[in-house]
Amino acid sequence: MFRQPKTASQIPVQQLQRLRKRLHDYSSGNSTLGTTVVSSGSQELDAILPGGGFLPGQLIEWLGEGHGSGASTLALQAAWQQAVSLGGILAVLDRAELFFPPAASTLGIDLDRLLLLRSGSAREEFWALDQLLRSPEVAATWVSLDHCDDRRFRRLQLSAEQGGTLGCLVRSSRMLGRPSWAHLQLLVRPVPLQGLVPPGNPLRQLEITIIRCQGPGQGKQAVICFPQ
Amino acid sequence: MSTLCIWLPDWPLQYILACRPELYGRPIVIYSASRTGSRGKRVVSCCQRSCQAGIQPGTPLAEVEASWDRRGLALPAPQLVPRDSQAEHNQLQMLAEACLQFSPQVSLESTAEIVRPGGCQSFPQALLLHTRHLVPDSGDSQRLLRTIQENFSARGYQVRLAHAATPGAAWALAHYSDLSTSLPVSIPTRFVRLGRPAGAWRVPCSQTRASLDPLPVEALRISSQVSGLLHQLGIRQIGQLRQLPRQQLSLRFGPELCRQLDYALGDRQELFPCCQPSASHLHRQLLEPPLVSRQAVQQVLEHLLQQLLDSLTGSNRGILQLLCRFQGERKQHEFSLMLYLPSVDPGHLSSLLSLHLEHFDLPGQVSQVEMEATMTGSLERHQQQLFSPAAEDLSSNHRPLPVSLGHLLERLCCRLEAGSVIHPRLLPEAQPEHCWEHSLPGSSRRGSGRTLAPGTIRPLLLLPAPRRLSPAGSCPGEFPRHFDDNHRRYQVAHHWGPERIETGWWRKAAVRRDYYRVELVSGHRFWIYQDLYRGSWFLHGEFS
Repeated sequence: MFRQPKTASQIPVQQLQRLRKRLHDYSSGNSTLGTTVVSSGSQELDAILPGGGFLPGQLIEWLGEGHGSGASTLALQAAWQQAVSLGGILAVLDRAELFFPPAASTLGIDLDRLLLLRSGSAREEFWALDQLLRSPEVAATWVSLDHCDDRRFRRLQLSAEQGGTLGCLVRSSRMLGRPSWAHLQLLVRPVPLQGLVPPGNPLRQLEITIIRCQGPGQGKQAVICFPQ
Repeated sequence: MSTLCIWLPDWPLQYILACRPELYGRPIVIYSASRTGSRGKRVVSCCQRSCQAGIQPGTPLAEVEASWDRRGLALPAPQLVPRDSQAEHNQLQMLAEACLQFSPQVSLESTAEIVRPGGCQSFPQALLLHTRHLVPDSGDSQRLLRTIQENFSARGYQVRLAHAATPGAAWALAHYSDLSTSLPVSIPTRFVRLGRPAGAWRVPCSQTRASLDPLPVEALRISSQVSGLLHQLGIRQIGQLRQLPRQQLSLRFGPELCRQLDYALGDRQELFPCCQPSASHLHRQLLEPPLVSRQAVQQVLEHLLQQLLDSLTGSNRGILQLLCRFQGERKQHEFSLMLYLPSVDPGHLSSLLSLHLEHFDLPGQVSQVEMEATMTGSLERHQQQLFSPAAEDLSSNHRPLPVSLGHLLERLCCRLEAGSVIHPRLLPEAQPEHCWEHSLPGSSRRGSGRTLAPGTIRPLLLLPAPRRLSPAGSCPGEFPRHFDDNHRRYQVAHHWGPERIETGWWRKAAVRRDYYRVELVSGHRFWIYQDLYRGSWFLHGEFS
């Protein structure tokens, strides 16, 4: 007696996710990341991301074109999505002491679950980032990172994988083309509003390009809109 | 006679002076460090020189800071010291334990809010020693009073002592007796003058009622409401109160007044929880020859930590605060570790010590190391799981217990500078510079505070100080088309606003600003404002 092959709708979602994860691991050569794919908070971005979202333990580089590009906000929203989906806290490293918690609150982030670190030196910041990425209690870490040598970057990658913490590294687009140990590198460019602008709070448009990723998807672009 | 009361008048001030003797001779003002609602920081205690300058307990700290110069006094500016009520309580507890040499039963007075000379206070500042059968005659009693007084003087404290038949009477006499009836006491000349000078009183059993009669009704440890009501009726002394019918007193003033009167007169027995001598959690290691290597000191610390943990075994208590002292050639160096949760985990504690030691400035030669658990807490117990959770569960929703979060916070606090680890909390304040505050993770002031109105948009990055912009390319009354900032030109494509923020007049730095969100032709967005007092433009935030 032969078994009838199942149709797509008959396959459980969890099984599909597991198979998708295995396929991703085979293509990327990576088998240490978590299995739960978490949305970035934007459907348009999920559509171009390999696996349809972010995995716990990934390092994501958000390259913003200059000040006021919106890359930091997008990265923070993605980090918060991870904290909401997996539980745990969101850690923000802010050595420049510019992070403005009321803005996080307006984005829907629960400040009770936000830990802010303002370390004095780059050395301390790297140590704290490493500790946070290693900690299973921290779901995601957001940091604005300028210079990071290869060895340190590799260490951060291993720490994130070990702790299952999503690391959102916000960097300048000047880092484009530099060696990176991030699992995913995204370039964020603001799109100027065209024509007659409506009053009130018109949505902001950002163009995201996948510069580097493990697996298919490199070069894909998406335009996302959000209030800011 | 059965009870001896030891009152330390102006206890917060005496505690600070005992801890920081360098403050002798300077005007001192101690204020409550925590804000209570909208009342702000207030003076808790102050020295006599500050009192003469018009400062009283309850005065707002802002008023002290603002008006000291205007008083035209030839005094140096007062030393403003935040009050540490936990440390005060710990010290009082320690003094109570030290008094166990005089009596096997020593109690701290209760923390109920009562009226003392100098104001209504709710923190304990008196000890009660139960001395039944210990002092059979009056000579023994006087010797005991003198010994205790000398003992406290040697520790740097001034005390008012009273030995009487009941705890209530002893408390009343210690707090409210007139100095002219005091037994002779010697006070070292270096001591500062307090609002209530030191003294000692002894009242035989037969004279309890007579000695209490001239004292004010507040000496019964009653609340300020009841004492206020009695004053309105013209009843000011205990003697007057005793002449009134008890049933009427109870009906008019509630059960509290009669109960306190009975306690003082000995018609009702008063019970107090007694202090238990705590096991010593201090361990020290003499080093001969002195150590110079940091690694060697680390090993000594680990050895002492193990001894300390052994002494805690079986007590169901863990370390909450650890104090390490290093004796150098000239002076002592010390650091303390504060823990988020009580711990007896040697690995974790050892790693915290190691982290702290990395940045600690050790003396060149360490001749002695001391380690003391200055605060301990009850250990929480968790039900253990028979089977470990599946690997898939661990990676998804089943996160480890918050203990690991506590450990992470402790590591971060140990390594990073004080104040680097922050739990942000929003404040009901419109001005961006003042609309949130730092609080310690795990502190009692948790909660994100207020929430912003729906639809409010704020930039993710706020400049520490607004940066001045030079507007250009517009007619008067129009929104500028360009802004020049440090040789860089922002060309504005769109703007939204204004959002007016007008506040801060009570800080003597009133602001009146119109905020705009602007989008440049490149699509980048910023938060700028116009100062309506001066008309200048400033960059304040980035929608990064």
